Amino acid sequence: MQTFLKRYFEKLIVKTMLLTMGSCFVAGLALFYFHTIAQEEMLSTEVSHRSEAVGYSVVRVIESALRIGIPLEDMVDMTDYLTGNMKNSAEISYLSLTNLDGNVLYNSAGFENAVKGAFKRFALGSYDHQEHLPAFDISNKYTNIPLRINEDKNLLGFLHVGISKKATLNRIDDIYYDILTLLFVSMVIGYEFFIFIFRNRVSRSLSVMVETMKRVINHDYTRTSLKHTQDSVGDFIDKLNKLILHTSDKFYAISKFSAKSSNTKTDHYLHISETLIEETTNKQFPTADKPTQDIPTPIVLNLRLPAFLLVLAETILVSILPSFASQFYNPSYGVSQQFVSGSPILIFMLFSGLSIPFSNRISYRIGFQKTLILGLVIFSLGHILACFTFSLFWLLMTRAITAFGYGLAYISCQNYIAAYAPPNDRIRSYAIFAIAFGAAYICGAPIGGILVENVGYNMTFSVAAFSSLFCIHIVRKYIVDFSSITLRKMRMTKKTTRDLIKNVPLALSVIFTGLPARMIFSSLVCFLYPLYLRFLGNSQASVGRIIMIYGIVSFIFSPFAAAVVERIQSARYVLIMSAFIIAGALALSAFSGNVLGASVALGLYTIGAVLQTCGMMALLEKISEIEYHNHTKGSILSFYFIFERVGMVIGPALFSVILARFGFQETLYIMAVTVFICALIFWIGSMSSRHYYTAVRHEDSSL
Amino acid sequence: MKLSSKIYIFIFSTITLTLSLLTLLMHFKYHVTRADLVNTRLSIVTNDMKWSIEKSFKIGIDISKLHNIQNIIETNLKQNKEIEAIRVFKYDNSNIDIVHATSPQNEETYIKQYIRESIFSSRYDYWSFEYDNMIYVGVSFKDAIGSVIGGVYITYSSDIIERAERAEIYWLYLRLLIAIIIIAIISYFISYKTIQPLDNNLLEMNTVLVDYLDNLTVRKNHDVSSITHPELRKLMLQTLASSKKTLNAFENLNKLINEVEKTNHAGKNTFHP
Repeated sequence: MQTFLKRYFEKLIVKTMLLTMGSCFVAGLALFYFHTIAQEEMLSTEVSHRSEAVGYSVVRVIESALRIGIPLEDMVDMTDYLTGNMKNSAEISYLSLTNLDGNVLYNSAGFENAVKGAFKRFALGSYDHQEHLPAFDISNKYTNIPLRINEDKNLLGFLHVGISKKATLNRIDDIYYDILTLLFVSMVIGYEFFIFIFRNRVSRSLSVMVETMKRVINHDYTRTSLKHTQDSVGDFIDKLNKLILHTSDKFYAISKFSAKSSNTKTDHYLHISETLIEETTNKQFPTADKPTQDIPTPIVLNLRLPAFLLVLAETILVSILPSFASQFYNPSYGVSQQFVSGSPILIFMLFSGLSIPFSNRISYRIGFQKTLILGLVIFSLGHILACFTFSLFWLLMTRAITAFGYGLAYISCQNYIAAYAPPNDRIRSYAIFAIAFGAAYICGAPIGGILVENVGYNMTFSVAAFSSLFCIHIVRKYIVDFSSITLRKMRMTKKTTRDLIKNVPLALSVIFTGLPARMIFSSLVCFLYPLYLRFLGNSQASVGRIIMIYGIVSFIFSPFAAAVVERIQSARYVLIMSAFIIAGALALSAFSGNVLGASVALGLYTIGAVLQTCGMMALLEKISEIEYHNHTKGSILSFYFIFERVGMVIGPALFSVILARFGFQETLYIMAVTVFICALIFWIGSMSSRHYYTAVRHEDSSL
Repeated sequence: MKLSSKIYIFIFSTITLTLSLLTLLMHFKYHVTRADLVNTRLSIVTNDMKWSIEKSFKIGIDISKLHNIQNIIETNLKQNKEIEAIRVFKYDNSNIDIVHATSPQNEETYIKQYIRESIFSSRYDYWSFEYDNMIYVGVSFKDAIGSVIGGVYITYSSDIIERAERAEIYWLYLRLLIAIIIIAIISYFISYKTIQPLDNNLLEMNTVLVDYLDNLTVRKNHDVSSITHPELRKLMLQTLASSKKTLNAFENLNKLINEVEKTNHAGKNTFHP
């Protein structure tokens, strides 16, 4: 397609996308703003009521002590008691007990002497007949709620509950950040759907239109084009097809005549034949009577939405499964509750890993699209069965089914990319998987949490099942596959398996870069970082938001990572560089020991991890190209994915033991050193076989 | 259908989907936040009861045999008008037995199942769930090794939350509707302004091609000046020129064949190979 025209269509797509996403963002912010204004007062009041309830609870205990004859002035351990009551109420800054003159008798930790004057001034008032005492502000820092302490209806003193205005605002801000996260999540989901529909219903038909015109310009009348849409573009393609058919008819009319008369040996006929040949030398006509119609071709980018929905269905459940499993805990199982809560994820990893060899075999036997559908059907079945969970065994069984389906679908997606991505777009096509994963990771966790709290576990499983069923529909309609006979030639044989195991560059890359990277990923993102961030003093909500950095960075950086890999041209350097980035990020995280450092380190880690994935894919491509002439690309991928899964299972097990023994910062340093040493070994070990790691750079030519 | 109409439908659908999803999630989030705040407030009451009850059973007496519990829960019920019922239960081998209650002691099996689920799934030191317009908030009693051995829970009507929420939720969805309408109008104009030139060009290209197909034998020069986009105009011109060239060649061949046929026909009498 002409560059200028390509740029014109690209501009159109970008403009439309900006308009859509911009409108969503502005309208979403407006909705958020108006709603939060209305909600702010309610939230502040409710926070005050809650703090008041804590105060009343303390008052009841003090009054019961007074009833059994302990004088207000002679109570013991009151500082500890008052401080203990503030434990679960971050917005309460102090609890202070005063007598009727406003003198402080006892106070909790966090009490400031500056507020004593305010208590004295308050005590000057007359409150004998007031059930509810008026709250007052102290130096614009606290809202003080005074509560009566009575003994037989006689006022003896006051309990002052100091609510920090800043803490209240922080709590409200926390809720606002959550809502902004939801705005982001909604926009990501909207974006994924929009880009998919736009690509299939608009840009594809525009491409077909231009391609068909180019075909006519080049006198190629062998094929008519598929009319993808019923719009003005579709109408135009229809007319171009008519023109192709008409021209083709003319050609056959003449060629039939020519053939009929070709036996005559007159000069005239000879001349006619020569002219015909000359005129048609540059033209292409079908061998049969009619031009054939274009068959739909596989478009790898169409995998992005199914991959997104597949991972979304799984990530919705990841955050809720531990708590769901722990409710079936029974001491008679003979294992800890932590083990039970982690068992669904463990089973999932195990069965999705086990499904990989089957997935590869099945997908080359029946085709990628059919395997993907089969995987999604099993995946959906697992979710549907999970809706009826009544025991831990049932839950684990459904997780095993789901994992098997997930493995089938995941591998067939990768094989699809390996088989159909154009060479100049292959790394970028692999990056779409990273993008889909990142996007789903951003969206899944918050949606899962909210759904569970509102509609319960069963409905949340149903939402995951719906997502995967919808995915089946998309795969059936938009994922085109070639005949399985062609694919069967590409499948793995016993010989290639043996060769792969003996392949030194592959083994070096998998063992010293792929395996450590997966071990670190599953340990860091799934359990170590959430715990580390909690350890650094973040709330659960803040931890969730910081972990989202992983999803956001991988979502944004993946396309660039693919470009970086193509530009550097050497998968070896990319792998070494990514390992050093990961090691640096881990060391930074441990060294900084604060939230900002940990957040920056997570972003940096994600960049390294995405580069590692793209570099690894480039390397696997290269090995399949040099050693196996692309015949076992899927097998090599599967070979790598098995190690990947192994790493994902070993990682958390190993690092949780190290964490229990040494603590957070030491574990992060150990991880950093491990990755660094592995990278060095790979660097030295791969020096003799550099040619395996040099990727061929392709010029971009597609829309 | 015009391409611009189609793109506009996509834009509108995406915006509607995104904003509806956001509103639904916001609705859920605020409901959860408000319910959490009310629940934590009421959980303080249950914690108060737990504190009173734990004093007794920690010396080793079975919860079901503690007679003062009934007084504790009835006093609390009187003091908190929002609460409809308070129940104390024993948890043994996943079984929940109500041992003290301010209202009938029986509890439906599915409620017990929800209680069981909530005890272990709660992220807080209390647990809560909603069923059939009733909200259940409770705390668990644990033994020395941390195993759940019982608990106390209160029930109150969700109307307390919903009453306050109703008006706000109505406004939330009304705002969504207004936002969608405003965005629909604005995006209509912007998208038409953006896509209209391409749309016009496509319509012109269609017209030119129809005209060309209708007059294939005439070979007139087609006016493509109405196609304003230079690249599309060039492409259209090239397409027509190429097609004309091919068809002209065929026509010339046809003429030649006819001529030869005529000659052949005329020469039948003279030429004998």
